[in-house]
Amino acid sequence: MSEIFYMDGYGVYVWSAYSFTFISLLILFHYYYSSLLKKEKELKDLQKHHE
Amino acid sequence: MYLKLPNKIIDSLRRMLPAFIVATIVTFMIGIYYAILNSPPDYLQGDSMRIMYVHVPAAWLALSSYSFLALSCIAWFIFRNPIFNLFAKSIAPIGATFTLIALVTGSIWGKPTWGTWWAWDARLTSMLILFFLYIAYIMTWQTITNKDLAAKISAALGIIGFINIPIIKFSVDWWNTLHQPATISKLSAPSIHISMLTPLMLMTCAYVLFLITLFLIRYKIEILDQKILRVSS
Repeated sequence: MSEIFYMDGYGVYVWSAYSFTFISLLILFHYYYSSLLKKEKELKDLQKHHE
Repeated sequence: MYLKLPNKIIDSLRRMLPAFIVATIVTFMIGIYYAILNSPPDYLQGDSMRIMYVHVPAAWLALSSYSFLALSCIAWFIFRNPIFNLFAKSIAPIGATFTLIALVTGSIWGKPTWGTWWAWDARLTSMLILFFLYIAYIMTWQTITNKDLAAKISAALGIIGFINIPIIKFSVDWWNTLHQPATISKLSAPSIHISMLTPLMLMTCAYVLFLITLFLIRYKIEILDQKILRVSS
């Protein structure tokens, strides 16, 4: 298991590259998805208000 | 001018989104399994080469996304249909993120391979310019309040910036750079072993699925925006 993390001394580079990649992708997804939920709520509130 | 999408498209988008989210997560998990656990280290670079599996697909999609953005801008100039603006606006933040990932992971890979985090060579500098082009495109829409003017300026910027794409692609052939030349080319057989090509292709598929997922979400946001406008007016 420690071999996977250590990778002959390259682990720090490999894991930091993978971490940066997936954190960036998650932040982007969260931004888009939360915008979508906000818009859905906004539309629901508006429709309720008009009823 | 409002965007008009047929109900059939709206319904199919609604149905497709969860499937794309699941497919993206599953493909990433399989890709990471192959990239970390089921592929050999490079004979020269050792395990640091595993950074390739997140770096290369990000770079490919950064270039493809900008090409798509530029084509959308050209289409907008010709047809003046707002759907092309939506395409370009939707792809810009995704492309910028892929470019940033390519730059940062490339820099991390550069340290153990070249002995430096950064060098002002042709490939790296042209990729940095691509990142600034994306930012400039996004900022144009954010800062200019007149939407017609913003559409014109951003479309012009998108088209002019396209000059940078062949520069990035051929920079490794035209100039002496630290960056290695293309390993996978359409015109010749790939000089990469199948055991490394498999995780690379899997990760590329995962990135493409991620891009499509975000695109579908952006579409839904735009449709909701149109509905909100209609309800509130």
